[in-house]
Amino acid sequence: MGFYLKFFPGGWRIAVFSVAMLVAVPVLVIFYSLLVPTDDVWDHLVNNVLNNLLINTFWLVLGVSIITSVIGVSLAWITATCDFPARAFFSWALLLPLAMPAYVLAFVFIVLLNFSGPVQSTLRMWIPPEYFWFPNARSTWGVVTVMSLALYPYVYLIVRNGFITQGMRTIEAAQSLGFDRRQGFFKIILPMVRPWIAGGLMLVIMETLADFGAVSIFNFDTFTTAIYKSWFGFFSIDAAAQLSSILVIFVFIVIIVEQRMRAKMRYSQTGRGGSSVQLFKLNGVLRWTLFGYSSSVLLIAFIIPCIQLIIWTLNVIEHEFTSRYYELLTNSLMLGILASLLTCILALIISYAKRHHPDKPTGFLVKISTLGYAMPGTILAVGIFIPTAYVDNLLIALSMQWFQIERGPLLQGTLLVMVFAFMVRFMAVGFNSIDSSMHRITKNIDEAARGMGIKGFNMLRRIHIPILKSGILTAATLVFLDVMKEMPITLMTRPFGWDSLSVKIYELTSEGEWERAALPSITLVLAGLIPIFLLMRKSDKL
Amino acid sequence: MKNTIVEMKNVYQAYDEDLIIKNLSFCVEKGSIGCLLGQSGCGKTTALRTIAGFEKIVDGEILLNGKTVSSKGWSLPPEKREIGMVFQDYALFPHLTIFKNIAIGLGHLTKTEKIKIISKVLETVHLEEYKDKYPHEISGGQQQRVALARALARMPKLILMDEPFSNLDINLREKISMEVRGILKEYGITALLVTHNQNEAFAIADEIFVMKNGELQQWDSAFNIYHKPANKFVAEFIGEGVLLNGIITENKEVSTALGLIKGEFSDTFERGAAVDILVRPEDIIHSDESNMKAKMLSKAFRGESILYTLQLENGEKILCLASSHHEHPIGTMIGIRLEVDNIVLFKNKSKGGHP
Repeated sequence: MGFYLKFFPGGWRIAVFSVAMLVAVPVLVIFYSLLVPTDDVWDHLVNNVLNNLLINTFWLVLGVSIITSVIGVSLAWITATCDFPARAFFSWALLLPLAMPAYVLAFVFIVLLNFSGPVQSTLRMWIPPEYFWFPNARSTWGVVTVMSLALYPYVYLIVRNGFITQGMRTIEAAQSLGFDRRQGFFKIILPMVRPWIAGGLMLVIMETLADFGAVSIFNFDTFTTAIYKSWFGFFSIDAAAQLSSILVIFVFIVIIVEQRMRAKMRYSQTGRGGSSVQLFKLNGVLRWTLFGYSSSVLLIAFIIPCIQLIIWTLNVIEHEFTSRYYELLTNSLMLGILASLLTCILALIISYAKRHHPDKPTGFLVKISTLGYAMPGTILAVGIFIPTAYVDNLLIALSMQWFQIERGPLLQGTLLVMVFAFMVRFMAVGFNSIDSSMHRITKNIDEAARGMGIKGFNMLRRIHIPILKSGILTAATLVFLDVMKEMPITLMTRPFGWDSLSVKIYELTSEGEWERAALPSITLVLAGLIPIFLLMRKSDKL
Repeated sequence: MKNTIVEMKNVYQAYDEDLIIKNLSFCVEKGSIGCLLGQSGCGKTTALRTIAGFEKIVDGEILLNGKTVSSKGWSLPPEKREIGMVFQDYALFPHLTIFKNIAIGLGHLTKTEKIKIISKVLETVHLEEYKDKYPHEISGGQQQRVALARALARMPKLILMDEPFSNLDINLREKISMEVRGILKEYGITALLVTHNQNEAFAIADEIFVMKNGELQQWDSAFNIYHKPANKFVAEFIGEGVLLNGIITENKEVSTALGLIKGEFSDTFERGAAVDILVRPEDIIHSDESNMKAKMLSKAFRGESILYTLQLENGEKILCLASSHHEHPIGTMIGIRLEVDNIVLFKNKSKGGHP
């Protein structure tokens, strides 16, 4: 009881506690379902599917981790330290694949690499049929490749930051201790940036575990697709919840590792970086090799898929650029606006709460409130559906009992539930950018303002809002765009017959209508470019 | 016979088109501590980095131990130069303990040898009990000593230090620079360091190389740099003091606003030549009996002394270091007397251009 008394004097704490509880409910529901007795569907899953899911998930996570770390670390190192043609351009351009949702890259790749696609057709023209062999794109290696190309920028971005803050000085220190550059890189720098690599990898693994769109396009069964099928194929929400509870355990492991890596990165900041960053001068062959490597990654992961999307879009634009497209676009935009509005308001409240109470319990509640960033959308959809259905049934029963009125569910399949699910999923995105601008309002600023007679609402209007404005705008933009791209939550919680761009892409690609999926896809890619430009502006010397 | 460890011979260094170092020549003898002193951007750090091998030179030659390590279009890689380096931000490896930070540079030795050497250098810098800590767990001053210990452990012929004390608390700097000098002398290691702080240079160095705009201004002992500056830049950069206008009269005297001054001249001038004469604050003695008076413009209390800024009759300003027992209000006239034997004179090219 003493704890509660100590903890609850003040509205901010009640507010942050409420948000944390709202976010915690779906996760707790999923955990609870571990304890619920199983049904037939679950037995079927355990006997026939679970093994396969575990194996697939294992290979997917392993493959994507290896490839993203090799690509991400190597690109980060060369763009951070080596002088080669167009280095400055590649430094930011290699982030562009972030703009391409993995499911878009997935269907473009499937078409490009299938039997009648341009790659195999060209190869067949050159290679006699008896020697011709081409791997099947719809295979483990295909998913792994596509996911790696879509996700390597996370490793690249974070590790590059590690190299820039640590790398140059360290390689010189290594040289002064008798290591040549190659030894210095492998024996000192690489072990040193391990926290950065691991931090980036954890984000990659989170995204891999959470991915629904790309794996379903490849017909590659993972937990997310199995959760979807159990619910929408076998109509067993319990089985879906139980699958979710297994997945959520993996996710928690990843979260814990990620948090530890973040702490390590903080320790490793020795402050002042190198004053004059001098790039390694390389000979001509090596310079152009690096150029070739960087451009191939960029071409394969971004430029070629974009060109293919543009060609398709031009083919179908007459039939597709219709009021139907506008409806999809409006739905997506509306969804994004509502969700980012709700998320930003709550993020602002949490951030203020943290500012007023910079103590451990509040910090813990803030952590819980932002937990959703690691939760796969499929899990959240299940975790939110169950309590919603429970409340709905309660309401139906009550209205029958008290008013003798027979009525349908109030909450299920409404935008409200959907927007709430997005808030849970993307709270961390909104909170982080708002909170970082909140840090700029120091206590001294408040006191200086008060000293000049500014207080209360005036303080908010004249001091706080101008300082927070850019942070709030960034938060709103990022949440908005994440919501637009989001697939599983939209698919699983949408009102009946209600389509958005991402849902339409799912429907069209599952019917093999690649060309028609191009227009909504290119729309999402264009929108996805915005946060990359925001990021570039923030880190001026990327 | 002299044993030169570092020798810079007419070295030029440039980034793109900008010359950073121009015709730089100096050397450091074995066992001696040299110091490159200058304002930021004067090229001193670049000079150090050319010796370390991190920067290539465009002309001239650098010799280490009599062997050429850098010349036009050629450079021995840093790791082959057998040089120890202490970086401005120490560049300790954050993922390794203090012990391993040092051990990693001793790769060729056996484990027992490593332990022996590391214990010795850590003892030298008084950090034995910290060997299992990580860099972020110790203070800045301790990190600095680890960086020195790491360089010492390899027993290099030369240790280079880039602004080694600039990240330390100002009160610690002089103490630690004396300590570092003691350690370097104990190990008999030649060192070259870079600083913008003359007190550090005075405390640690045997020889000082004053630089400006990439060029060497003076290469001398601390005493001579202060008392016999080679040019006006060094005179004004080192210590406090002002340059007064003067005219050479007959009988080896200078006529100034402080009257006729005589003594040993640093240079010979023709009769009637316009000169600048360096007057240090301690050359001006405050004495109430003196006939020469000056108006006090401002004063800075320094505890044991007071630094007065005074205005002479002709408007020129001088500084006067007086005992802090005297207290005079601002604006009053106080009596002063000049006491100087070695007179530092420079030719005045643009007559009357000094404050």
